[in-house]
Amino acid sequence: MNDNEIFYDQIEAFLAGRLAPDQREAMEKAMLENPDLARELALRRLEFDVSEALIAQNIRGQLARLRMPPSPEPPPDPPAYKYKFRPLFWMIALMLTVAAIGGYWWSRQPTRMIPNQEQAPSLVPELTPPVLKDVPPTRANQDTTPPDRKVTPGSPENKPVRPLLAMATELYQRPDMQTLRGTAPVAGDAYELALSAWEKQDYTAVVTALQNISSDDPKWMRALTLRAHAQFNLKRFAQACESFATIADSKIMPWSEEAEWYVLLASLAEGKAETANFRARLEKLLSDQGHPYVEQAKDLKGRLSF
Amino acid sequence: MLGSVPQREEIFAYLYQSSGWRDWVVRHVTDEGGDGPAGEDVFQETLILFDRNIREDRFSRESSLQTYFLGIAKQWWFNRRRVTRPVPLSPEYDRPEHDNPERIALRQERRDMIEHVLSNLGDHCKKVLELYKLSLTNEEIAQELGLSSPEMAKKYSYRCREKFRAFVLGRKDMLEHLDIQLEP
Repeated sequence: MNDNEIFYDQIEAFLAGRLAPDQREAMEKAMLENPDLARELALRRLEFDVSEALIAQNIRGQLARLRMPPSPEPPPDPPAYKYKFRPLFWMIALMLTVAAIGGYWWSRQPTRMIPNQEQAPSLVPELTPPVLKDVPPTRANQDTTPPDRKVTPGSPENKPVRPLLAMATELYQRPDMQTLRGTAPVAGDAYELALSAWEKQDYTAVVTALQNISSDDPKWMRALTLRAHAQFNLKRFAQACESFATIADSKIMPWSEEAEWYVLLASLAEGKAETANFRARLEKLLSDQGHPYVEQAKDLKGRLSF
Repeated sequence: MLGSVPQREEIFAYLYQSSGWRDWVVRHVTDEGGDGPAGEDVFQETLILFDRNIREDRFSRESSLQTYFLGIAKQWWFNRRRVTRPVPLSPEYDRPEHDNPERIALRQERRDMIEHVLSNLGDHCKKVLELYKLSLTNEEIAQELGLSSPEMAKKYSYRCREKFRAFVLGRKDMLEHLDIQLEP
C-alpha cells in the first residue's frame, strides 16, 4: 500500500478527529500536494455533514413526538352496543367456521380421488417441472377424466397456473415497509394510515387509504410500492402486476429495482410466465449482473426451465 | 447510542423522560434568563451534540456522562445568549479560530448547501446515509430498510453515496464552495 492509499483510507479518521497529531499533519501536507485527495476529502466532509444533519433531524423528530401529548384512549363501548351485536358476531363466527371446514374438506377431495392430481397452492413449490393432467377444476369432471390425458408444460394455454402461483408465493417476500417511514412522519396522512394497515396485514385498508394519493405527492413512489404489495397479498395479481410495472418503468431508484423483481412474481402468480413481456423483463433483469435480485431471477429461470 | 436504531431511540426516550437531565437543563436556562421553550431547545441541541461526541469517541471519560452532558448544555446556552445579546468584542476577536463575520457567513453558506443537498436526496437515500453514518452493519441496515440481505444493503449504501457524489460534482456552485477543481 503506498502513501496515497493510506491517506485515502485515513479520510474517515481524519474527519472524525481520530488521527494522531503527526498523522494529521502528514494528511494536511498531502492534501496540498494532491488535488484528488483534497477533492475526496471535501466530498467526504460534506457527506459527513449531510449525514449528521440527517441524524440530528431524526433526533429532533423523535423528541417532537415525545413532546406530543399521548392520544386519548377511545371511549369504551357502551354495554347496550356490545350486547346488540353479540348475536351477529356469533353468527358470522359460525358461518366462517363452517366455510373453513367445508373449504378444507373440499380441498382434500381431489387428492383422494385422483392420485398425482394438482394440489392447492401452498408455500412449498414444486421443484421439478410439473407434468399435470389437464383437468377442469370441478369434481364431476375430475371423476370422468381419463388418466392418460397428460400435457407437456410449455404451451401458454396449457401451462398450469397453480404451481406458478405456489412458486410466486414462495419467492415473494413481504417487505417491512414500517422501516421506510420518512424522517418526520405526519400522523394521519394517507401513507401513514396505509402503513398502519400494512402492519396489521389489512391489505384492503392499505389499498383504500392510498386510492386518492396524488402523483405529485413526495411519497408517491413509496405509496405505489406499498399499494402494489397490498394488491399482491390480496391476490389481485393483475393489478399488482400493473402497479409494479409502473414502478419498474419509472426507473426511480431504489423502488424500480425491487419492482422489476416483483412484477415478475405478480406475472407468475397470474400464470403469465410464458408471455413475451414476462420473458423480456426476466431477461433484462438477468442481464444486469449487479441487480440485487439477479440470483433470485436465475433461480426462477431455472425452475421455469425455458 | 452506539447500538441499533431502536436502542438509540430507547436511550433518547429515557434521557428525555426519566433521566432528570432535561429538567436540570430547563432549570439552568430559566435561571440564566431563558424561558421553558428555550430550555427545551437547549436540551434538544445538547442531546444532538452529545450523541455525536459519543459516537465519535470524543468523550474523554474524565467526568461522568451526566456532568459531560450538562457541561455541553451550559456551553450551548452561553453561546446562544452571546448571539442574542451581543457582548463587547474581545481582543481575541480576529483570531482565525474565533467567530468573525466571514466565518459566520461561510458557516451559514455551508448550512444552506447541506439543506439543498438534503432536499434533493430521496428519502431512501437519506435513510441509507444516516444509517451508514451511524456505523451500523450491513445486516442492521438491511433490517432497518426492510431489504432482503446485507449484500443489498451494501449495494444500496454504495449507490446512494455515488448518487450523492454525482449530485455535488454536477453543481458548479457547490464545487466552488468546496474549493474543488475538476480536471479538464
